[in-house]
Amino acid sequence: MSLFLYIALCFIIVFSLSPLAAFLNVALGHVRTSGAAFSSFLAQVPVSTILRSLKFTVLQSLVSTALAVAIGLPGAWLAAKFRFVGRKALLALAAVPFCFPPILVILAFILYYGREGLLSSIISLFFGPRRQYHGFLYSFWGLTMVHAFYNFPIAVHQISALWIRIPETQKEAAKTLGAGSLRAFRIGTLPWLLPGIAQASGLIFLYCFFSFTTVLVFGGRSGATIEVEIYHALHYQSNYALALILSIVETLCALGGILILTRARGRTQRTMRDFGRTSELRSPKGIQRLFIVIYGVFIVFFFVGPLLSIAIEAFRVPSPVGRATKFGLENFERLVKGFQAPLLGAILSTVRLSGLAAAFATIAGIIASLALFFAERKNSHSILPKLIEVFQWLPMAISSAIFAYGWLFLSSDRVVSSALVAAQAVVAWPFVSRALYASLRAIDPQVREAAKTLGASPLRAFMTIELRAILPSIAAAAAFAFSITAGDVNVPLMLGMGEVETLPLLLYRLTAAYRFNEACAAGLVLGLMTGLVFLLKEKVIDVA
Amino acid sequence: MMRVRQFIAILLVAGLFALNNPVWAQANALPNPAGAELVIWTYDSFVSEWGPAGQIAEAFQKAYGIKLRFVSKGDGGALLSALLDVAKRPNADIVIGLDNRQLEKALQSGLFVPLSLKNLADVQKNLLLDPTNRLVPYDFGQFAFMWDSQSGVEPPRSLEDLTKPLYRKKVIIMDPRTSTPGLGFLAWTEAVYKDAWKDYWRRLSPSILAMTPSWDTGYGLFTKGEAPLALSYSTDPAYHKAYENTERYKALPFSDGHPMQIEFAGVLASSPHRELAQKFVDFLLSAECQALLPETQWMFPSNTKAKLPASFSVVSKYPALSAEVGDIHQDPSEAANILIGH
Repeated sequence: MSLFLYIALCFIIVFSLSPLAAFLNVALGHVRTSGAAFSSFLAQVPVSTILRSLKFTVLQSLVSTALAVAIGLPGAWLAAKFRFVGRKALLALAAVPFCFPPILVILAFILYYGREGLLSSIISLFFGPRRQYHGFLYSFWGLTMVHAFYNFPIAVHQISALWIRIPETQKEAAKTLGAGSLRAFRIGTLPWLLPGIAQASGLIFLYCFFSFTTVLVFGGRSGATIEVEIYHALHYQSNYALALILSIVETLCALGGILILTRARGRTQRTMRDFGRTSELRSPKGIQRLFIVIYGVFIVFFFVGPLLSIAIEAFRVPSPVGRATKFGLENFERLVKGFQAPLLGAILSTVRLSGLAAAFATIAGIIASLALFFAERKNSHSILPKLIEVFQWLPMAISSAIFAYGWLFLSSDRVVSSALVAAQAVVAWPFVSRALYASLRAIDPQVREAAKTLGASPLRAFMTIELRAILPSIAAAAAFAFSITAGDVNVPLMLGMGEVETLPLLLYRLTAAYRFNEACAAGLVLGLMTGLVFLLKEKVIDVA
Repeated sequence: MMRVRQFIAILLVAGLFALNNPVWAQANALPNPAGAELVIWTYDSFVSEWGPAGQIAEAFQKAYGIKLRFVSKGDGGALLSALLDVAKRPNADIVIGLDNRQLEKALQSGLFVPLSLKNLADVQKNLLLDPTNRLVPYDFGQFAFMWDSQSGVEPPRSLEDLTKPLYRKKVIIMDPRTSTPGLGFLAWTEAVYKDAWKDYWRRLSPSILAMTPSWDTGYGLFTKGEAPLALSYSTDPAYHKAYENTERYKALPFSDGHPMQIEFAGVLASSPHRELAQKFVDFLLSAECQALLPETQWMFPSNTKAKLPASFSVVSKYPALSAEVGDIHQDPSEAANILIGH
């Protein structure tokens, strides 16, 4: 059976890498057909563009990550130490970056922080209208702030999961020996905490590094990330050489980030395993209680507020200047009944295309995780499991634009919808595979040994123990894969608008046209679809 | 466990539904070469709810019994690059929405066929930039800066005025690489400042709040009050008159003169329905169809026999300025790069 698995895995990997080969072929093919040498290929690649966007990408990712961790750390500490109302909700926010696509969150931020947004209205209630408005959202700091608020729940979730397991004993011992509380923290807690911070930072850095939609909407003047430059090169200039070089630079940087991430992950997993038990939560006292309230208000005001404004604006009907606002279903109605009825078509094609992509991703993820699991069980030191693990990360390190175009070149009649499904499946399967692999590893090997001792055949043991144990995870991972693909705007945007009209694309267009209320109506529908993951156990998010 | 079962059930149902429902399959099907349906590539605002596409499709179907399917490629820049992309074959019959500054690049591609149209006789002669009639003009307008008269900001009178410190972060323009008004603005500055246009862009940089990827976004920002000035068209006051009955937003006359934008349509040589497509373009130029354009495109119709609606009484015609982009391949990126990262 494992032989079959390896063959299937080889197939998946070849399948995943084939669009890259196709893209390379086309990008270099332009050189061949024009009969020019490699130097003319390089002549199409302006080095200044690459350096400038690399600098901007790294800088904004670093600042965004630092801000996200700074916002997340107090939350992580509170969630790891205290029992309070809303603690579960705070941890559950970690699902937001995964199941609410960036385009939806961008919409929320414009609605809330924009000149005529809810926040401005509240502020002007107290302080009168703001005269000086400099479009903060469209500056470098605006962009990094959006990134920070979008990703801080990851920091809260991951760091607190580790913190709660670090026992107080070391710190107490240090205190007994006369250390002040800051020094005791540095000796007794920080060394174990740092890998967790590094892991969360690594993940957030990667997400910001590949940020596309946010930069496209807010970036305008402050700069363009490499991903946005690739989009420009492909979409507006048809400069495949530039896109190729940009994506190679991007991938090399991302691999560096992934290396740090996996190292830190290994260390946090060891810490978690060594300590095992989680420590008891305390009831907050006095100033701690005050701190929890302040933090809660801060998060609700700056992060939950924008998200809620989507739900409100979806039902608010824009009215001519001077008349009272009213609420109703007109926004939905216009989207359903209007010309070429965009909403229904978009819902249908999103469900159909993303459903297919998620199904492929789930099947591929099951095969890959089982192959990795068996390979490691047989011989944990062989090169094979390591190799499989690298491949699991690869789609995270490669621009989805390259995947999308690669698939387009592969499909003989350039059918966009099949390229879309394939590209999204390739992006999603590693998430499924990592989630399933984690739950496979969590199975106690003794149970299996017991089954064998009681006379079960290896296949039967597998069916009754492993398969049954991961069945809930498979369902969860499939729903997660659907959520990722359904919310994805990168691939359809890269493939060209109008060819397929998915829900995130409709949302992007409505937002870009500043038709906010209708965008919110569409966004609410999308949020309900992708928000399914919210109902899952936290498990899937841990390994994402 | 219960939750998980529910999930599996939901997924299964969704999956079955997705695979079996024929309507969904149709929504994404490629154009049927045997059926009578014409596919038109255009840009976003043409197909938007307020754009002319819906009414044109209805009128054309009534007259000829042929269905139209509009496909938006995003903004004007994306439309041209989608046409020229060697990796993707254009699977359309007709293209609507290339402008005078994209004309040369579009014609060089050899993608379009010469048309013989009877309504061409009524089209304003100075708009016919392509003597072979492969791309024909269907509407035109003038670029102008729109000003919010309730902003409390003094209106500028020339391109030079925009560089004054008083307009710091008060101006919205469009990206010349991706949007046709953006490209038009670049041509405007090149016509006024000649070789020193880059210098002008550098001086203008502090005044620019946002350089948006498309006109839609920029004008949306403007009407949401994010800035008091935005690059747009001299015809826009008509929109605010017709829909909001307000003259709050005004198109500013600039002493430099105003460049013109002319928009073109054409039939692709690869179309299997060339005859039918030609009929449609002729229909697009007819006085009947042209009358739909002023209050949907917010541009002047190219057909001299088409009547202008009452809302256009608030539109003034400004002194024209002939403006072209020197190097269509290099200048847009150079201009955009001056603004990015500062």
